[in-house]
Amino acid sequence: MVVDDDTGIVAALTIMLEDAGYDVASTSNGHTVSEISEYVPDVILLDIWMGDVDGRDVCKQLKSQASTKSIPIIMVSARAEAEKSALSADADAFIAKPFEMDELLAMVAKYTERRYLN
Amino acid sequence: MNKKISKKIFPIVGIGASAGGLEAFRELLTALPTETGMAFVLVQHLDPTHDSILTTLLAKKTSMPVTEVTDSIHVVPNHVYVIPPNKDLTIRGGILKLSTRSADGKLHLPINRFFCSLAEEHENNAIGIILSGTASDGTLGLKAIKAAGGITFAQNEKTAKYSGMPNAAIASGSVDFVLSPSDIAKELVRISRAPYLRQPETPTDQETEPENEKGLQKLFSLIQNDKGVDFGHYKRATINRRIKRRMLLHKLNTLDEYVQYVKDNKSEIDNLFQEFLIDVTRFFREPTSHQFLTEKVLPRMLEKKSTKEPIRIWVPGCATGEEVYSLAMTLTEFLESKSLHIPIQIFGTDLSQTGLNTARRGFYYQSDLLDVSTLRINRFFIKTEAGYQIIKSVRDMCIFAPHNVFKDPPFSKIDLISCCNLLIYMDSVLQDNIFHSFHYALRPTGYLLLGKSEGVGMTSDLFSQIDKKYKLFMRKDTSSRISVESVSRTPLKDKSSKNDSKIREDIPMKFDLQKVTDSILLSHHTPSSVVIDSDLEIIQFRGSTEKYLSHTDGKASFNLMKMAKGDLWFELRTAIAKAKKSGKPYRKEDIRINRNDAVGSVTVEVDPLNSPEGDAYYLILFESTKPQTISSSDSGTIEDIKAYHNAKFEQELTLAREDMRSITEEQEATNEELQSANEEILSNNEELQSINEELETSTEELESTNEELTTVNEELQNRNAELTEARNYSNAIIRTVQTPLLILDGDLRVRTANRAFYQTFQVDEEGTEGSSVFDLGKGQWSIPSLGTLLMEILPKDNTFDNYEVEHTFPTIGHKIMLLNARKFISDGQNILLAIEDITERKSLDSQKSEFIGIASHELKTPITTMKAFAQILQKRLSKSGNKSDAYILSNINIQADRLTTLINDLLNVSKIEAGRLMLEKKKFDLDALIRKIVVDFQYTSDSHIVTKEGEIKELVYGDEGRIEQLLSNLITNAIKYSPDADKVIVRISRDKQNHIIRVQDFGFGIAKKDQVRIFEQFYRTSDKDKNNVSGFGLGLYISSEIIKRHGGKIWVESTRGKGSTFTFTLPLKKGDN
Repeated sequence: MVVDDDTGIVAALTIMLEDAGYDVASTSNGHTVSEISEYVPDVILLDIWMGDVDGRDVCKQLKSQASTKSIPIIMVSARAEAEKSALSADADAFIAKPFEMDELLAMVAKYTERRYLN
Repeated sequence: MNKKISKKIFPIVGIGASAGGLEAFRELLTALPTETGMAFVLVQHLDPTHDSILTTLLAKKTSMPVTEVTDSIHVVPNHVYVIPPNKDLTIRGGILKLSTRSADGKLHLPINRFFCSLAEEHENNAIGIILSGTASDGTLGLKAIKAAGGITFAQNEKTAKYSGMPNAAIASGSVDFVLSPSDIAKELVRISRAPYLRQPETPTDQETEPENEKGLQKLFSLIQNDKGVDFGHYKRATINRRIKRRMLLHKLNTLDEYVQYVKDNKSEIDNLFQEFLIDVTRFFREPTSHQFLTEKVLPRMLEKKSTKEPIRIWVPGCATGEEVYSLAMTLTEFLESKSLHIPIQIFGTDLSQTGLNTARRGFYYQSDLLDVSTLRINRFFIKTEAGYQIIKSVRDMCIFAPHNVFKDPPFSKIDLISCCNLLIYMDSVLQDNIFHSFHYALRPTGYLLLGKSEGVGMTSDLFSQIDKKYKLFMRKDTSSRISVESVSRTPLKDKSSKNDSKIREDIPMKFDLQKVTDSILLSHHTPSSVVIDSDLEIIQFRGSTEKYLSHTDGKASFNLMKMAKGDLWFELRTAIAKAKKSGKPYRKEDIRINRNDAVGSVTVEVDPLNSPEGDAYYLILFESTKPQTISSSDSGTIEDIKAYHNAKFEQELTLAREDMRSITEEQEATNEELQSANEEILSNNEELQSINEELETSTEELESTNEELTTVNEELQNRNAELTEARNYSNAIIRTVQTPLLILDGDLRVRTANRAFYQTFQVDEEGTEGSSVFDLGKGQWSIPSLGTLLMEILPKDNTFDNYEVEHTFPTIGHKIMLLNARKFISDGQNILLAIEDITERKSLDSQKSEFIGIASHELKTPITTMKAFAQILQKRLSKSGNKSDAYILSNINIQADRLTTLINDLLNVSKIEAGRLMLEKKKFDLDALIRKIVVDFQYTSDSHIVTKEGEIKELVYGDEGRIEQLLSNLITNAIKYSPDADKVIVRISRDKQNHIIRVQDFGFGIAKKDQVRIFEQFYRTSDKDKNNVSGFGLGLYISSEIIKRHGGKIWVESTRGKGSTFTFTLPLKKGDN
């Protein structure tokens, strides 16, 4: 699942992941993420600064509710220094924008695999 | 002889200058016409080590030929001669002589040297000019020229760049004209036309021309009336030369004109008087004669003296006192070497009051002290700003007084008279007079020291020569008479004293044996007698005395003289006086007396009776001798009777004559005594006058000290005013400056605050001044950290700079302030506290950072999108085998990466500037990091092989991410700037304190001038054409900031065309090894 307030990014990531063979859901509204109910994504790519929504709050919330607790969350931000705060908000990984496609795909692959291993 | 005359018929002008002289020379030469008939010799102080271009410079200013002096050059008129550097110049026989300046470390004074030789050689044809310069070279030279009858000039203070040298000359009183250089030139032209200088000195000058003589006598009498000094017996040559000088100065052509001028101008008498008295004197003029004094004369002198008696020395014609002080120094040294404490009195006398004033002041310029050893200068002088002051102990030995040695009574009991080079100005009449005076003044074994060319002449009966070379004489013990002339300033005028009794005889008190024998023979008689006391009052009567004594009319008296009958009183008196004098009985026989119309005779005997109490009494015996009658029965003839009477009269006559003689002798002796008493009184009077004079001088000195104090006081007042002004000045600055300022005292109470402070913090003056800084504005300043800082300043004597304080004030709200403080002393310890309100600046700064943060975030988002799409496309295309399109897309990707790097750089710089570049330091494996980077680059770079050399075994403390950024940057640069090379080497090593990492490339290299600045913000190397690579120039700036924050250093070594090596160090942490 891709969560970013910038629709361009959402579009790019969606295509990138779909090209790699993933099913991708997306939203540009951070508020709605916690209400995931229809299906549980294998990994969430979550932007930090989404206008009035802080991705880290979303992350914390997801990690605190039982239904979404086990979903790996990769936080994405244009500010490299945000890595620390992302990890302390219980994110599983962090990648800075702009990123290399291979790097991102490798990271996504790693977490989806782990989940299946679990 | 011809040659001698020819060299003298044109004037030679000596011109001396030092600093600022060139300008003055130029001005002087420019104003001079070519045909003055004079020769000009320039003596300039020059740098001894450099060639002089003075000659060339001056040649442009005059059409006269200008020559630098070479040795033995013959002086001709209308020429300018210039001294070469490092030489001494003298003139002899019309030829300029050069000599190498002596390297004895003494002061080099070429101007004095030349002027003195000029004065000696050319006398009244010598002209001396002192132009701009420092110190006092030339003063002595001008003195010599003036004394020789030459003319002297000095540049005036207004035009002289440095007025020290001319002013010293002016102060010495040896300068005739004080003018600007161009006016000096005018004056020289005038002098060149004056007949005085043109005529050679003819032998007639030595003698008196009748018409001249008349004028001279008039002048002499004018001076004598005014000054009481008769120059009639001064040597004519000197007198003539000096009168001519005066005439020249006043532009007069004949002596008659000058006499008239003197009559009309009273002040000219003073000038002429001073002119006659010019004397050139120096300290230790004859050093060998001073040595002779200490070695030979003084020891002999002291042999005959008790230590209580002062040594008395007289220096007549002392001029400005140098000889007096020299003697004082010599004597002091001598007595010290013998450990003797004998008081010294040195009388320095002269006619010239101006000279005496200088002497009394005891102040001399450096140029005056040339012949004084450094040892003596240190010992006897106190250095002042302008020159040297003789010390008080020496000054106190010396008494200076005006005194005319020919006329005023001399001093007395003098041990040594030093009279050098005074007599040469006098003719023999005066000299003779003086020697008599000296003879009187000296003690029996006193010494007389004369100048080298002087002698005692005709009065050799008064002095015997002790030493031929040093002209030392000793007083012969003959009687002397001094002459005190009619114009004596003492009230005791005695015109005749000179004339009387040149021949003196000693008066031995003869003892009359015969008379004594007679008196003893007659002693068996018992004649009538009286006893009288020393007042001649009769105390006792014995026997019948009525024949000889009777009472007188009127008041009763027992006085023998009154009671003696007839002429007896006269004989009695003589007899008593004789007995009194001799202390022995005295007998006077056959005194004829008229007794009752009959003529009788009496014999009187006076016997002194000395009582045990010491009172003198006299026994007077009267013995009647019967008149011898010649009886008719005697066979005597009338002739016999006549013969008898004749014999009798003759006997009486003889007695009377003897009486007369003894009375005369007595009177002469009394006269003699009176005379010498008188002389003594005169001498004492003279001394008293001198001392009085000294006292007056002391009073004057006190007055001048008072004057000085007034001046000092005035100066202090001026200083005060200046201080006030300075205070107002700084107050104005403090008031106006926009930064709030507080001045606190030691207890941190506010002494003053400026307007900016009151405005910024909205407090008033009343509530601020005097109260503690922490109580200001209801305690709003009580910031604990500020308190600590302030309290530490005074005890530790330190300052603090740019200390930031954040505080919320009740009245003005939240403020961020930058505080600077330092201690200063003014009426106790104080702290100046400058408070800068940086609240606004701070908020602007944070706004800026925030903006850059947001901007970079916003910029990165589209790049991310763009890059992502490009990569997607690239991947799709490479899968489908469309290699060429994939390549295009990979370029888009690379450019997007570069854009990202630039944005990151900007972001980092803004963080560095804001001080927000955070480092996350921890221990990490640098060796592994470098290995990883090297491998990464191996993947990305096709052109270069990056190799690692060396190894770090331990962990390093630092921010791994930043170090990686830095290394990547350096390696990227290394590849970028060496397009023609194929390798980059990363070397690791360490020393005691640091890990050392080097990145070496083999590319363009960096120019020397760029090597230092390359680490500056936005700096890019100057030759852009060669390495056409883009960038902001921020990479190395950020790198160096990162290294700085790690406590390391970064630098570059580079050779153009060979490559560069960037080196950085990381300090080893303790425990790392």
